[in-house]
Amino acid sequence: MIWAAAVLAISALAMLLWHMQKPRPRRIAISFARFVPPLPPAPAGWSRITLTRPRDLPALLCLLAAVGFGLWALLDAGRNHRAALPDHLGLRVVFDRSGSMAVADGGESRQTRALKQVEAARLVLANAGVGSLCIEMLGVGAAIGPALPLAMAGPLPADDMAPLSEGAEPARLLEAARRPANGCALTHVLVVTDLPPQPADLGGPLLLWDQIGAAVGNSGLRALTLRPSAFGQTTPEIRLEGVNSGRDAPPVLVLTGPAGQQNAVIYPDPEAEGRWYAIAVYNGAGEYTARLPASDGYPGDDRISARLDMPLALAVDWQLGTLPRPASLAAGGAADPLVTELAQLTPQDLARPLMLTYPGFDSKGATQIGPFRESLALHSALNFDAMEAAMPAPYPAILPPGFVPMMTDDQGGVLIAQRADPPGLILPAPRLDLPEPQRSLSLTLFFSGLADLIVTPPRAQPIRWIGQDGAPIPDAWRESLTGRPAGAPADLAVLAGGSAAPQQLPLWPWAVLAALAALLAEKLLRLSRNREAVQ
Amino acid sequence: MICARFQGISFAGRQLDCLGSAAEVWAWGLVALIIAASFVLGWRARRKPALRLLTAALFSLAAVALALAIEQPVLRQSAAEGDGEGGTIVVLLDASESFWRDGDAASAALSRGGQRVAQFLAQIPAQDAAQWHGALRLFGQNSRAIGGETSLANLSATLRNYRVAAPEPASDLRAGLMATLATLRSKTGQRMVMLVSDGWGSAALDDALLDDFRAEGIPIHIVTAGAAAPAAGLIAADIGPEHRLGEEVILRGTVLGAGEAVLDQGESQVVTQIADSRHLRAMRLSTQLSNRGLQGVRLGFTSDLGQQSKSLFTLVRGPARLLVFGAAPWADALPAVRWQLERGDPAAPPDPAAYDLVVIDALAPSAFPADYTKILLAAADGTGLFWINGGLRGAVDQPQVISDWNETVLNPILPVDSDPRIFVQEPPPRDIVIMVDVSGSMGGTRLGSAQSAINAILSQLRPRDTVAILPFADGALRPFAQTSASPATLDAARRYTAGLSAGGGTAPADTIRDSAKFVSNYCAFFFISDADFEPPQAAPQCFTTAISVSDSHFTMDISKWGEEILVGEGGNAGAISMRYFKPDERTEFFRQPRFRPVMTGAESGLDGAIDVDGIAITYPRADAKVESVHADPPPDPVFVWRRDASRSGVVTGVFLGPMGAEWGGQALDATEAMLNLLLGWPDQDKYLIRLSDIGGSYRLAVTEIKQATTPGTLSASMRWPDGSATGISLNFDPRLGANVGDVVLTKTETAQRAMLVLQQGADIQRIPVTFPRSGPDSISGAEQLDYGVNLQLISQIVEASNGLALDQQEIRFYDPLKAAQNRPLYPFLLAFAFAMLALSVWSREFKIQ
Repeated sequence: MIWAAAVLAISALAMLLWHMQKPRPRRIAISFARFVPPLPPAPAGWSRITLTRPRDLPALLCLLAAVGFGLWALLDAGRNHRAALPDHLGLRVVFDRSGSMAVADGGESRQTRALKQVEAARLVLANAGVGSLCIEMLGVGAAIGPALPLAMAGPLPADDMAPLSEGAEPARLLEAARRPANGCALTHVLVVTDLPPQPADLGGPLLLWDQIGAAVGNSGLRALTLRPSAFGQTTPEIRLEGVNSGRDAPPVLVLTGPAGQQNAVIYPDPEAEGRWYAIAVYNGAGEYTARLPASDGYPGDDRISARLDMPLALAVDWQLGTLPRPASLAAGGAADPLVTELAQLTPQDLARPLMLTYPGFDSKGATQIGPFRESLALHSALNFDAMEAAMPAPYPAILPPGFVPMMTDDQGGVLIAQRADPPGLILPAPRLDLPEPQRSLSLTLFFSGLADLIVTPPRAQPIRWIGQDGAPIPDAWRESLTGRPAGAPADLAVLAGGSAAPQQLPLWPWAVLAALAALLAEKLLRLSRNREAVQ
Repeated sequence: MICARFQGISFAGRQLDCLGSAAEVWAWGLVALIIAASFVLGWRARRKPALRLLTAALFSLAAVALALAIEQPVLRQSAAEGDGEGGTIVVLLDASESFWRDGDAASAALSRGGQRVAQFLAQIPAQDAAQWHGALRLFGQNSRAIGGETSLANLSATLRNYRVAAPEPASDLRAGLMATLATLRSKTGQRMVMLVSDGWGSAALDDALLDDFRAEGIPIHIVTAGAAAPAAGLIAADIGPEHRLGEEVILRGTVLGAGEAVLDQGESQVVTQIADSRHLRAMRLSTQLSNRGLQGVRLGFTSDLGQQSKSLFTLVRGPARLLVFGAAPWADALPAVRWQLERGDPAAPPDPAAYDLVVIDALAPSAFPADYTKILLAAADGTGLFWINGGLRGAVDQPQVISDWNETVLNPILPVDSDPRIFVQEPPPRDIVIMVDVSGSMGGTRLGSAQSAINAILSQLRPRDTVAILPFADGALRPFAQTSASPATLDAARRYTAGLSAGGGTAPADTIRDSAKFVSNYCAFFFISDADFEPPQAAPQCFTTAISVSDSHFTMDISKWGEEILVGEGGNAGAISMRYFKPDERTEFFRQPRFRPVMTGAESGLDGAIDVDGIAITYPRADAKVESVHADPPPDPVFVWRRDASRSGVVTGVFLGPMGAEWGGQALDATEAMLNLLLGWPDQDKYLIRLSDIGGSYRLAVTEIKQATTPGTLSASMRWPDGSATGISLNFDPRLGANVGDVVLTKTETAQRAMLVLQQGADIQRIPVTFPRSGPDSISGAEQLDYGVNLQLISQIVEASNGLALDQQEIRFYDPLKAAQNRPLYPFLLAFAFAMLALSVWSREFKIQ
């Protein structure tokens, strides 16, 4: 802007100088020149400029007026620009300190890149031309650190910004962004992280999300589930699940347990791209450690440890008198599903996973099956034809709360009832002393229901991620996706901008219009004369 | 005005924009006057015209620059190169019956979703809108994308108009969310999910999955709708899992409300009227099934709400239905518990498709109606065909019964060919094995003779043949491995032969034993030696030409081998004529006399241990399995069968001699074994099989009841009448104790026959399956009695993923902050204008000499 004003001033001076010239002498030819001493040379160029009455004062005044209006326009424009600048800038840097910030890509770690961004942000603020500035910083890992003031110059507190061995998530970064200020009136919040940007309204400060870091391939362990043996028909299994991001999963993982070490082949999960699983044998209670081959993007998710205490056989609290507990089931306690008879039922039992039998085969039932609902578990083994050939009597009491009839007889009596949560099933009691086909039917019905009740889907087990130094890493799985596409860099110039301030309606265009009017006046003035005042 | 005409042009990565001003109209008016005045003044001036013009032009340029400045031109950051990354919205739509039961409510929810997308789009700056994309995904029985990525405007329009035509009985929200997460993980920018659902799902949602969304910062926004009442109509249906042929089959169902129930078996229908009821009501229909295998019926229910249907399957067991044409005296001895025998009149034959196996004993095609061969061909996919040639017909030089069948449309599926001309003209690919003695006694000219014999054999091979060379001395030596006889292979074989050297003792037994693995329908062995060894105990299992390269004959019973050729020491093997390569065109079609067949095949239990009274001379097809052959060379087949390579449901067999009453006596087991091979489903009690209609596809559950006779993993496939096959991926479900897999079937207007092939090692069971014709959309499942909205699940999803309930709120657009990148041009224009002004004033000083 200043340079423009200088150009205008120089232009004005040039016009002034032109007008301050003496008139150019008329070219004269004298025939008798040789009798007269030689005339002094005609003044030319700068020598004609002198402090004298301008040659065409009205025209000059018009031109100078135009220049004046031009300068006014520049002045007004500058004033408008300054008016848009804020009085104060307060920046909070929310700094991702999670483990993945230690991942190196392109020759430097994400933390190094992040520090550079913070430095750049500090520079933008310093050059914003705003008098009042403050910066504070919050580090976020598995928890949000305290808000620390940050100097406008000098080295950054690298120790307070170093990656920690723990995971972070976008919601926690936003939570840190929303925390009350610690003495610095915030106008902006800059989140520096390798996590993708989040839409958020901070209710005042403007949010600037800077996703740093290029994609680096990684495979990580995500979960461990246990699949119990189904009545001894199958081997209890450990299912290890993981993710791969930006690279293929390794071919095998190594599982170490009480019975030694086993290699488990890794298969891609057909249900979800980017996931994989491996199946290993469960050898009984103990400490298990799974390990992926190292050398990928983020090392903190390559090793997990879990204390597994599931018995090799499923445990049930067997209180059934009519049938002994099958050998493939272990004796359980109060924490295990209860198998009992109606006569022994206590109100407390209803709060547990429950298989409740009633003496359905002790008396003759109706002749036909009535309305029923479909249930995969019951239908898979139950033959309705056989059921009708040996119909049990209905449940002799009011159904406990939460149970809904799954099958009734044609008289409306409930034969089978089910409860979703906690799991519960009411069935005729099995009896070994019945004639066929009642005996087979009662056993089929009972064991189908029992399988449905206690052979649960694989259950996720609590696991711990272990770092290379043996220390636990909380929530390391949150750091696994280092292969996600890189985001666009944040525009740090926003920090210095006052775009939020309302713009005053500028006057300067009218000043320029006045300059134009002055120029026209100069032209009209000259046109109004019969001949030019200055040639 | 003027600036606006150039608005949008790019310069150094930025675009020209004009902010405008109310003064600009006045400005351009003044400029016009100034230009006019300048040129009038110039015209009046007493200077050279070029200078006058220059002064006027400079002044005018200054005025124009000032007017342009008034329009406030700026250079704006180009939108095309902007920093906005945009984002992606995936709409995950519930395709389940419970959500679409109230179609109006579901459509309204979908429209509301479309409206939310439109409202979101309206908040996005125009230059950034193109960087936002949307996608639609359904979840029901499974999860699938509908179309590809599209603009948000298109997505909004799609949602307002989209309807799920065939609601599904389940809603696997977990699968939908997992697929959506996988999609969004590959996207940059903002990402979100809009879930349109009633929250009733068939699979539990695990917290870990929602954690994944939260960790990725992907919110799941929800639009809800739910039916006001439980489903009406067909709620549940069941058919007994197993039945015997001809037994009464009862279908049980549960219905709600009035309607008409129809049991559709294709050719027959049973209709029952159901009275109105506000409570669940039981329904019973009965029928009979007359075919073995997995037999399906369709249970339909028509009510005021529309039509529903469900296919129900039961496994029908029973004796194999055997249709016999001709004498077949042995058939009467077949046990009724396993065989349901019916004798057919060739003059008025029944439909063969209704039987499991058709036996044609010594009857020529001429005994049947003219088009019956075509009917047999059509029925072959699922019905086994067994021809018995019978005894000599006419003279031995006359074509036999099987030759007549070779002349019919059934020829391509027959396991043998009886036309010698075809065989001579273009023999099938042959597997040639050369066993050569390189013991010390072969040194000198004998080895040279042997090498020339090998080269003579090699020179007669075609590229489609294979060749292997097995040298032996004290034992088997390094062989020339079996390879297709391409020119390069033959060159390599010749080099290998040239490299053979003599040494050691002579022990051919191992090599003869090893040669057994090269046995095929068209194998030919050559045994080259100086005959100077103890006769081996075993004979090769293929027609063998024994070539002696000494003056001695072989000591073994050469009639059990094939033929013998005496080349002699230093003999010219190139001149010998080997019978195998130049078979005479047969003049005989029947081979006498009575003989005891030799079992050569892999199947057990086929040896009847009785003599056969001659056989028709035929050539087995390359893919046929020859189970027994004539005892003497050449090894003419006796019992041959084949499974068609392109139509694996087609299994045919042929016994080339007569099968008298003794095949129903002491050889009855062998007879049953032969019939079982052709039957396809010989062991009905091996598996418990269930097939269930799960809406849009069928779920197969196979439980192994008997221990597998051969080791191997159970695999399953469905073979269709057109020869195509669909593999079924089986996974063991411990809760069901069964191997479970899904089959997808194209809807048809007629019942469809198929063949379920269960294979475990070498054991193959082919179970006929009848799919009933397709009806209206199948309705059943766990969500039938669900209604309303599952608020608990909805709340869980919203809270866990930081999503929004879009029924009350709209999605707010988060604009990634960008600095004001407008670079104003007015300072340049003002400076330029006044510089031009000064120049124009001074231009009056310019002179042109």
